[in-house]
Amino acid sequence: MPYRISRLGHVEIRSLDLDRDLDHYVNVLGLQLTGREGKTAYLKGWDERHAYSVCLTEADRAGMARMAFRTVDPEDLDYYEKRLQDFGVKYEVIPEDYRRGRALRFLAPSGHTVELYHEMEYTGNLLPAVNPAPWPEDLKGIGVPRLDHTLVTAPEPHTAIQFFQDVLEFRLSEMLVSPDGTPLAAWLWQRPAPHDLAIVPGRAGGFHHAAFVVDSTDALFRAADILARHKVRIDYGPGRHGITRGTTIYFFDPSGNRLETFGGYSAYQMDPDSRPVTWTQDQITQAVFYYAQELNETFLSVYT
Amino acid sequence: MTETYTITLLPMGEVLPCTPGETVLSAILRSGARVFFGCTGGGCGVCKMRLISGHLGYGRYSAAALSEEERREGFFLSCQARPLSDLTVQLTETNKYRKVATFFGQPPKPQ
Repeated sequence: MPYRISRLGHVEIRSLDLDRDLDHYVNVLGLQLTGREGKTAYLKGWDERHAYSVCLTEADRAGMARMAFRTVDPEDLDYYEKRLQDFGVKYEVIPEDYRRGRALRFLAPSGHTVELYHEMEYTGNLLPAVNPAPWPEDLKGIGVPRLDHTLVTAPEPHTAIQFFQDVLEFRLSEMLVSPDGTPLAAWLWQRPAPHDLAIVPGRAGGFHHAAFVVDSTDALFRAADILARHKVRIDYGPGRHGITRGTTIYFFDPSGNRLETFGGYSAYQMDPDSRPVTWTQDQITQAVFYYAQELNETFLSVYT
Repeated sequence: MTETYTITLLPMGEVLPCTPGETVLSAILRSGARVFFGCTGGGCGVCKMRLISGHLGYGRYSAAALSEEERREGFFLSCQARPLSDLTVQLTETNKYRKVATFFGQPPKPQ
């Protein structure tokens, strides 16, 4: 099966107070502010090469407004448009958006607004394209290089998981199954990494977290130091997930949206031959928090 | 908000002082008790409590976490709400109130 989605391109996160929350995203998480228009600020990690990966929009509620996946080639957008039609999925064509070209927008069975697009203004990362150093100086806060994945909630996870598998051709890297074999939660990929998107049980349209990369154990502990120094509420970590093997810190932005620093460096690489890993329901605690071996009270009950 | 108010928690009848500008949640945690709370940003709504009497500033919170109707019924988000008078607050099982041991005068980390 060809690989047609290059990554989770951007997420739109709602903020109860844009100026306040921008301080967190820029000075603690360390994203680069690349634009601001009306009630939305556009941000990206220093190693991202397009105009933005996070839209932070002031609203009367917290949560995620949309997630957008970027296709590998322009033709892949046409390919998915045909698939949406074949599967009878109603979609809307968004001719253009801020520094972005044509997109297809539809509602997934999980209750989330999903977009597919290809064109976005190419800005390059923060390093020169010729003879670059390994990382830029003067990063603020954690200084995350890029957005990694998002995890969302769905009232009928198996239906939503099936939709992303069938219509958008995501593959399962890992799944948590009930004793009768029904998937209760799944980690889905197209990019060769353990997940671009994950789905767990919960309210329709719920936003569990968006994750940003930290790329070493040093960076993981430095991130924890920075969060604690700024008295950010840390939900869990530093720790490690059994699922994906990734290291993690869960924390909240000032509007209560959960964010994560995800250690892709500790996770495995996907390969076209990879087959799904299964976790049984009785082992969920270690699947989620490998060291604690128990779920914290907030993991499945606190999200926006 | 320069005055110190008291918060009476029902059904226990526990009376707590709330320092100026402090949230209801913060006053409860500082008293050496624990309740269930989440994001502390007014986003998730799990720290919801019900006001029986008194006035409070509701703070900034997500309309998805506390509806207008709930607010009319007296509910508020304890991580955001600050007393504007002495308060009486009704706790329910979902708040999971419990007393905890303190160390060096401080309660242990919330669970």
